[in-house]
Formats: sequence, structure tokens, C-alpha cells
Amino acid sequence: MRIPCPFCGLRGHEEFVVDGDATVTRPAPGRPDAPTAAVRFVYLRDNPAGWHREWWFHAFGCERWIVVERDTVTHAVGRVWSAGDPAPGEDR
Amino acid sequence: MSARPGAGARLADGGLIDRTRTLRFRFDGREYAGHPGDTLASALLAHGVHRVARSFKYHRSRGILSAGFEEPNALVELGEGDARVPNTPATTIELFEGLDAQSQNRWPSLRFDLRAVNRLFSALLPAGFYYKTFMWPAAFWERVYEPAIRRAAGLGRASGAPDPATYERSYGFCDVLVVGAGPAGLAAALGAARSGARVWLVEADCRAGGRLLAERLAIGGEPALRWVEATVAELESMPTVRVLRRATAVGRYDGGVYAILERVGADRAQSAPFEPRERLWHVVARHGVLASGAIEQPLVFENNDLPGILLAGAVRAYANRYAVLAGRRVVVATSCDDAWATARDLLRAGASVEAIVDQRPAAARGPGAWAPDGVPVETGWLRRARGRDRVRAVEIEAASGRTRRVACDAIAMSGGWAPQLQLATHLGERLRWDGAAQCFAPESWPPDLSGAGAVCGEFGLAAALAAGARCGTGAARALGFRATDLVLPAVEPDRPLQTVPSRAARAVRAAFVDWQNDVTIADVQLAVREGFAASEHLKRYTTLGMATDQGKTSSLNGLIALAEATGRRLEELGPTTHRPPVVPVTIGALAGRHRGRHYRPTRLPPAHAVAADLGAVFVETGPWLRAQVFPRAGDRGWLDAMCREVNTVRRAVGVCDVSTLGKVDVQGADAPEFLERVYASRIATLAIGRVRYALMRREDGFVMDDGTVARLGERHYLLSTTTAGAVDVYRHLQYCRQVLWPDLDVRLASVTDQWAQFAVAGPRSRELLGRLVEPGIDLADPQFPLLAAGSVRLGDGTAARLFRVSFCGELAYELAVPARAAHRTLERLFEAGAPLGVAPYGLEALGAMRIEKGHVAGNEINGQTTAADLGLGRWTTKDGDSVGAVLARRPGLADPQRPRLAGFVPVDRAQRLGAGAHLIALGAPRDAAHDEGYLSSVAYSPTLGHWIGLGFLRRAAERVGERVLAHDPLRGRDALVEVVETPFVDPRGERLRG
Amino acid sequence: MAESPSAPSIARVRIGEAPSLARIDLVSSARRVAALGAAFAAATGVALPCTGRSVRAGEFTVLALAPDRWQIESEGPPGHAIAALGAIAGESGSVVDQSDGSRAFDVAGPGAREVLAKGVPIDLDAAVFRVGDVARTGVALVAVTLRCLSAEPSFRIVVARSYAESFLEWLLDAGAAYGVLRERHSASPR
Repeated sequence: MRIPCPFCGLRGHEEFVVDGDATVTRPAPGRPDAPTAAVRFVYLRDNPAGWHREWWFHAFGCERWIVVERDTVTHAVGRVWSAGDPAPGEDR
Repeated sequence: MSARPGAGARLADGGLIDRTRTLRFRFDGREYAGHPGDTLASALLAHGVHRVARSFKYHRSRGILSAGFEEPNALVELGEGDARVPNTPATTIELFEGLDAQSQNRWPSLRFDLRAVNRLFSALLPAGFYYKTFMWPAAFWERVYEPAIRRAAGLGRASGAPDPATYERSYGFCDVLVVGAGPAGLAAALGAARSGARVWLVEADCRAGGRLLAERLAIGGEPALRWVEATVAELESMPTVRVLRRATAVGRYDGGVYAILERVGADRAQSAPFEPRERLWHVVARHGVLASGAIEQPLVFENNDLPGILLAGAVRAYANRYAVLAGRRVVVATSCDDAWATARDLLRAGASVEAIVDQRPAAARGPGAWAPDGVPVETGWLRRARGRDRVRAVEIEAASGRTRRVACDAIAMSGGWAPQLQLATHLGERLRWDGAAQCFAPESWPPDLSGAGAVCGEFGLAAALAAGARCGTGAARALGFRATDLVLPAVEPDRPLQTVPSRAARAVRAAFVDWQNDVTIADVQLAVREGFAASEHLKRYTTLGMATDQGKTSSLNGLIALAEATGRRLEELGPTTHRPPVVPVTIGALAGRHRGRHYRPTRLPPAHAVAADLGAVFVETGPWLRAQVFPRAGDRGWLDAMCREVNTVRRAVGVCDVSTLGKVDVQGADAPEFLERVYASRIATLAIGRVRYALMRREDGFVMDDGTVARLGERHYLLSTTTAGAVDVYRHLQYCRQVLWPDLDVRLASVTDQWAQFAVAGPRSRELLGRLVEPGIDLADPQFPLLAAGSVRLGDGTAARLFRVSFCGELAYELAVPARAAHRTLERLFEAGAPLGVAPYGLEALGAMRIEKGHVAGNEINGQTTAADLGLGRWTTKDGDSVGAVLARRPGLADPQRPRLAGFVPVDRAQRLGAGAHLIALGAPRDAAHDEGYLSSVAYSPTLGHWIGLGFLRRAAERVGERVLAHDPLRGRDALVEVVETPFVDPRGERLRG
Repeated sequence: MAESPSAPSIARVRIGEAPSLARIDLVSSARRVAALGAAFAAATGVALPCTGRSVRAGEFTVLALAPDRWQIESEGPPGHAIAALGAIAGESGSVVDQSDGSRAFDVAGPGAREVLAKGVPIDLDAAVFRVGDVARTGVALVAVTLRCLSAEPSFRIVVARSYAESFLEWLLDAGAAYGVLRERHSASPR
């Protein structure tokens, strides 16, 4: 699979380390339901057959964390953007 | 081209062989001769050698079936000793001087194979027999039946020795990758290359031309090979073009990635110096053109596996390319026009065609189905071939029902042509039956792959050239190049191939569908009767298509037989999924250079050479080489060395290289806040010039790593991590910085390699360091107390850093110098420390001492333990957010039944302990239900004189003094141990404060 | 079109340790990187390059490794470069000495691309990886920073010091078939 790193260009997936689901956000600290929210964040995952967003770390590269839209069935890669940026076309 | 009588099967002239040179070779111990341009198969056929193998299960005599890499029968062991390569198709081995090959799967000899007795039991050995027999007694399967069955069947033998050849991997990038240098591929490559695109053309054969090498066709009024040569010359003259021969595209992967196996030095005499045996290319192509052609399919009839029965196109290849006659009295049997050319070529070469048997009635044949007068032509099928180790006659069943027998010494058969579409399906694309072309075709081509020529059912030369040209220019245009349409030389208009897949024979055991795995029509019908009626089930139940040829000459006939047996049409069945590789790939080629010592890179600390000079024994810690012990003359083993090193540290001073620990430089306005959130321990209260031990958690509350945090300035910190955890911790820190808290002003830099670091430990460590640092620097306690950290200058001007931390429990420091200064600093330490009794110490001593002090390390921080389990709860008491804070407070993790860290000593002090032993209460059964914990780290304590251990035990704190069993079933070494408090040595930490 | 010679009589590639240079990391954060860029441009007259490019600014060669990280090569002593860069960066960037932490090898000659292709997984074609381009990637499982120095072609490969011996062994093996001329530079660090 080749991944279009926003900073380094199209690279082989071997240069990256995948970390998992990028659709979940770390719960803000101090919430009243912190334990439940933390369990959801750490353990519970949807497992879609189709488009998904994942965190990838460009280990042999710019060492940036990026979000990769990937179709888990066809391995097609869609939009890719850097951590800290909104998805292209979406607002923060 | 005529055959001289009595001269064997080699024709007097013609062929693409170099008759001016003779090559000597051996097969099964006998000497033969051939010419450059021959394959091993063609050279053997030239000598009239047809039987070259025994089949997998039944040990039937087998001959050469084809002239290409689809060959299922003529597999040989090439070479000898540890260079022996089994299962090499003789049809792809380019003959070289001194070639030495052996037939396979026969004992004692090819001619007289004792295991041919298997065929007497063939009724008991159909497909899947091992699912129904050899079941009782159960223990016999592994010890008796399976080994016997393995020995009785098989293909070649691996040498069992390390592969002496070298292999290479390389990367390639191009705009257009063309697979196959037949007419379609050459035209495609030319069309794309002339537009300026970067083009790779890969061809599995040793020369370009594809089918043109086997046929007598004309392009532009000249022999086709002239056009081939001119095209190749033009392509090779372009700097943007790369032509690879003897290179097979074996796989297509996501993102336009292709794996191409190049046989560089393989199947040749001596490799040139530095030449690898094989090279595996990882090619990224923006567009692929598949021109991989089609493979002729055999006919199914009884005894269709006798030597002397070949594919019709192969007979033409042997006659035209290699100037070899596969037989002198040949019966041609076919279901398509194409094979009639074999009859014509054989006649031209001086052989006799005893009959042409065409399954199609005359009206259904195309214009290509013509033969000179005098050749007997029948509409009918082959029913049974007769002969023992060579075909001698064949029974023909005419459409009218009449049967007659014809004497012959070879049969040239054709069941049509099947496109080689493997690469088009490697990413899950599906094939469907194309009724018009009578072959399978992709349901749709992916956007970055197109096909041309026989692979698309375009079997004629004109169609192939035109399609190839269109594909090539089309691909170039799609990539943005300006391509002009290729003007092709004139060729004769194509005649349609008019092929239909052959009709399946009646059920007879010896009507073979898959030659390599000995699968017959009867096996297919058996599978259907037993309910395995889907093509994927049929394949796995009968093993049809599962041999090294992966069904190239069998899967179509298997599907036809399946269709007949189940009453379905071919259109309703799908071929089985094909996965890479298309041809077998040597494991060595996959490994490339990454074998043995080069499996992965080695990391060396900056002062490695000094340790080597001191005689260190090194051990791998991940990619690092670290000194394990420093043995001296008189040591009885590593234990002696380790004890000496520990005693030296505890009594005098020792030096250990700890450069491999990870070091991360953290700066920025929000550095303190960032570290407070990253660590489970309190960081904000760390003063400038101080260092503290700190724990890092994962988000699930478990401990990830431990290390130290030193504050070098207001907003300047230096973190240390474990050696093994360095890479993961750095990645995690970047995650926290970039993903979790991107608004914090934090800057990270990994400085693991920038600094060398040495632990200087022992009662005389302060004295030793005093001799190294600049005069005027006072290391006495008030000035440099426990957990102090700061920059110091050494006497030789080196700008160093000093940290007063102790892993071993003695008065100790860690001295960090820029890596450039490592060598001289370490030497200076030993020089200055000699009068103090200094000695180097390695990982064994380091480990023993930290266990003596009850310090946890990687064995305890194993990803399944919390700070509380480790007895380090007091390093995680803080409010506020930090990674893992919420889930660390889960009620489940506070369960008092969770095993907690404790110390263990053997009741019998002479006894040795083993890490991994499980702790069982005395008298309780030794099973998982009564497992109360385990020993995580053990060491022989030189200070105490006996073995000690750290481990985890339920309710450990309450059970100090209790005796439990350390049950070690893996080593068979149980021990009675007593639960004790840690540290084992200097429990009040007095020595630390020096 | 290149082809491995069977017995190289002419060295088609030269491999040597790069001259000893100061190597400084200039690192910022998302919040401060714009200010760092402005400060650098103001001080040197040159803009910090974007990831994948390098630029010359006085005595410094600036390699962009990430959107908030640059590596500066300088021929003078590290202390001088650190002081100068620290003054330029001020609060908006951190300066970390990496001069000891890495070693660099130069690969040059007509066979340079073929040799590197054995392990470099990016396209080194002259039109794609141009003079001055920089890439961080992995070669034979070692993280490297690769820069195209000239159109000869010549390349500089920077690796962490601990990996250098292992990497050099790979590099020399890769070049063996092409005839390697091993060059020694006067000030190779050890």
C-alpha cells in the first residue's frame, strides 16, 4: 500500500507505523462520566467494512502523525491529512 | 528443415540454437550434449529422452509436457550439495556447460522406481484418502503413517543446508510496466516509450519474442524475429527504458506495486562476481500493461500422462525454436485451429502425422484448420493412450462412435488456450467466462492496469500487435505524455482461433487433470459426490491446482470436469482465486541480504571498540550489541565474571556503558505542562538541576516504560527511557505532542546517539569522577547530592553532563559525554580508576545488582502490570490529567487479588531459581486454577551468595515469610521459595548516599 | 541503460565519509513555527525551506525534515552554529546539537542511483529527486536523511551514529558490483 504523506509525498506503507482508529477522540479531562468515556475511547471500536480513518506515524520519514482515510475492503487510500489539521474540506 | 535418419531427434538445420558450440551436461548421471539456446528439456528431447520424472503419488512415468514455465512434469533437481535446487522445470533451464541435473521422486532410479508399487493401491489412494484412512490408532498418524506417506510421495528434495547463493532486492520506479515481451508487449512498450514515458519491459524468457519464438510468422514481410530484435534494440537505446529478461512479474500489490523476480545468476554456470543468484524487484508503476499471453491446455483422456504426449504448441516450439522433433509418428488431437499448425510444421520438418483428431465437426472449424493432402483427419476424441513408459498408440473414438487404434510415438494435444490473468486478479478482481473468446476475462480492469494480446483472448498476431500498441500509447496518454499512435508493420490478417474447451472424458482413473498432484477425472467426480462441488472446495479436496505449477495446465480442465459433474455451465463457475506469486519464489530472494548477521542492522554504542578491546562478551538487546560480561583468564564461566564485577562495584568502583538507553530532549514554553500530562509521576515540582525517576503509562492505565526526567533549565528537560522502549516512547511523545495537545509549545529531539553515557558506580565512584572533572568542581554531597543533575566540564575540556542516579544501589553517577568523546572518556575512566580498582561491568552484573535492590526492569514492566502491581504506587500519586490516569483508577486494577511485586529466596539456599516459574501455595494442585503469580526476574546474588528472584504474588504484602512453591514445568525444576521484602541488599539505602 | 559489469575495472561509484560537519536540529512547535520562520528570514535573508527541500543560508545548509523541524549543516565548530542559531531562534525555536549523533556518507558517480536503488525505496530519478531535495526514509531498516548534492549524480546519506557501521557495510556491499572507489576524507569523525 502506498500512502501520500502530506509532507513527504507518496511512500510505501513500510515506512509507517499504524496506531488505529482516528475517529475516536480522547475525552476531555474532568468529565463527570470520565471512566465510561475512557473505556469507550480506549477499548470500544467500530470495525467498518469500507471507509475508515486511521492514525499512521511516518516513522521512517517526517515523524508526523497523519490521518489516513482507507477503505478496509479495497485498501484504497483516500484523503490524508496531518494531525492538528482539519480534514480537507471540513472545518475544525 | 529435414531430419536426418538415425540422428536422434535433432533436426539438421533451423532453430534458434548455436550449433557452432556444444555444451556437455549430465542428467541422472549420464552424459549428453546440447547447444547454446537449448533448454535442458529440448536437449534431452534431442537425444530422444522422454521419460524424465515419476509422478507425485502414483509414481507413473512422466515426460515433458510443455516448453515453458507451466511445465508440471519435468521437474528436476539442479546442482548438487548445498546448492541443489529442487523442483526446477527442465523447460526453463537454459543449458550451460557442466549442467548436472537429477530426476526426482524415484528410488532407486527413474527407470526402476520401487515406489511405483503405489499404483497397485491406486484404488485406495484417490484424492483425499488421508481424510478417511490411516486414522487408527490416533498416535500412529504422527509417528508412523504420516512419515511413511511423506516418504512415498513428493517432489524434489531440499538440500537441507544453508543456501550458499546470495540474493538481492532492489527498487524500481517507472511510468509504464509492460509484463511480457511477446508481440503485444513489445508493441505496448514501444508505444509508451516513444512518448518519453519511463517504461519497464519484463520478460520471463531469456529473450524477447514470446510465441514468436516458437512460430513461423512474418511481420512486415520478414521473419517476425527481425521485428522483435529491431524493437528491442530501439527500446534498449532509450535511457528511459529498462528491459529485463529472465524476469517474471510474480505479484501485483496495492498502489501500483509489482514484485518482479529476476533470475540473474540462477540456472547458469558460475555466477559472475557480485552477481546475485536472483534479484527481487519492488517496482512502483503508475500503469501496468499485462501482455503475459496464454497457456495451452491439455486434453483429458485415459493415460494422457504418458511420456511422448505434449502440448501441440510445445511440439511446434521444440521443432521451430530448438530444432527438435518430439516424435516421428505424431497424432495431433485438438479442439481448436491452432494445433493444425503443429501438423503442418511437423510435416515440414520431415515427421509423419498419423492423424489429426479434431473434436469439432468440420463445419465448426476455422480457416486455420487445414492440412496438406494425405493427412488423415477425423472428427472425434482421444479415448485412451497406450504404452508403458512412452506412448505407442492411441485409441480414437470418432464422432460416429467407431473406435480405431493408431500407432504413434507422440501425441500433440491442444484443449485451447487459457489467458495468464493472474496479475489481473491479485487484488481480488474477479474473472468471468467470455463466451465469444472462449476463455476467462476480468469482469473489469482496474484503472491502472490494462491488457493486450492473448491474455485478453486476442490470439492473433495482428490483433496482439494492434492491442499492444493501443494499450501502450493509451497508458502513456493517461499519464500525461503525448504519445503518437504506433504505425505497425503489415501482418497477415488474423484468422479466429475458433477454440472450444475440450470435452471432459468419461470417468477413468488414469485420465489426468492435474499432472503434478496426480489428480484425475475420477477424483473430481469423487469430490462432487462427497459434496465438494464448489471450485474452491474441489481444489482443496483434490489438491487440483495446488502444486508448484498452481494449476496453469489444470485448473481449466478441472472446471470443465466440475461443470459436467454438477450439470452446471462453465459460466456459472468461477476459477479459484489466484494469489501471488505466479511462479515459485526462492525464500532467499524474499530475504535478499537480510539473512543471518544481516537480518537486521546492528547498533553499536559509541565506545563499543573499547569494550571489545577489554574482551567483552556481547549480547543482542534488540538491535544493539551490549557487553554482557568481561571475562578474564581463570573464570570458570560467565557466573564467575559476573560475581567479580558485582563485587568490584559494591566494594570499589565499576563502569558500565549505558549509552543505549533512549534520551529525548524536551524544550518549549509548555514543556513542564506537557511532561506533567505525559508522565504518571509528578514532574512540575522537579527543580532545575535535579533528576527524578518517573513512570509513563499507556492510556489503559498500565505502565508503559520507566526512566528518568532531568531538568537542565527552566524549560529544558532531558528524558531517559529503557533501551527496548526508546523507539516506542519517542513515538508516543510525538503522539502526545501532535495529536493530543497540539496547542502546547513543545519541541522534541531524540538525542540517544548524540550522547554516550556511562554508569560509574561504587563507594569510590565519587573519587574516580573527581579525577576526571575539571579541577574546581566539587562533587561532595552538599554540592552534588543524590538526584542532582547538571553540566560539568571534564579536565580535557569535554562538555559533559553528570547525573547522580543509581540503579545498583551503591553511590553512583551517570556521566554523559558527546559521542565523539566516548572513546577517550572511557579510556580515561579506566586509566584514572586503575589505582582505585576499577573494572568494567556488563549487563549480567547490572541485572544482578538491580534485582538485589528490588528495582523493576523490562521483565516486570511487561505491559501487563500497573504501578501498584510494581510497588511503585507512590510515583503516581497526583491529581490532574495525565495519560492513563482515569483507567489506572479502575476498581479492577485495585483488586487485592492482583499479583504484586515481592522478593523470593530459595528455602534451600543452594537451589537455583528460574524466571517464569509459577507460584503455587503449598499443598495446592499445580494447575492454572491455583496459579498465584510468577517469578519475573532471577539472579545469583554475589552479595548474598545464593539465588534471589523478583516476582508477582497475590496478596504479597500479607504473605511475607510464607513459603510457596515455584513450579517450573518447562525446565522441570520446582523450588520451594520464601516470600521476602525487597531490597535484598542494603534495605535502608544507606550505601546510596555514600 | 545501466547494467552490472561482471568484473568492474572502472569504479562507477565513489563512496566516502562526508566531511565532518556541525549538525544542529532546529525544532519548533505548531504555535511558534511561523515566528521562527519570520525570525530566520529576517536574520539570514533566506526563508526556511519546506519539507523535502534544502537551502543555503550563509554558512548554513538548511535541510527541512518536517514542518516544524530543520537540520542545519555547518562547516564551523558546533558551538558557533549553536550560538548563532540560538540567537536567531530566540523563544520560537529550540537548538539541539546533533553533531555527534550522526555520520554521513557521500555516494557519487554514474552508478550511484543503481547502487542506492538496492535499498532506497523512493524514486531517485533526476527529474523526481532533484539537486537540493531532501528525503527522510528507511534504507535496509535504518532511518536515513538523503540529499541530492549534485547532478553528477551525488548524494549524501545521514544516519544515526549507532547504525553507521552496519549501514556502511550495506552500502559497500550494494556498490561492490559497480566497482566502488572508497574515499577517505581528512576529518572523518570516529
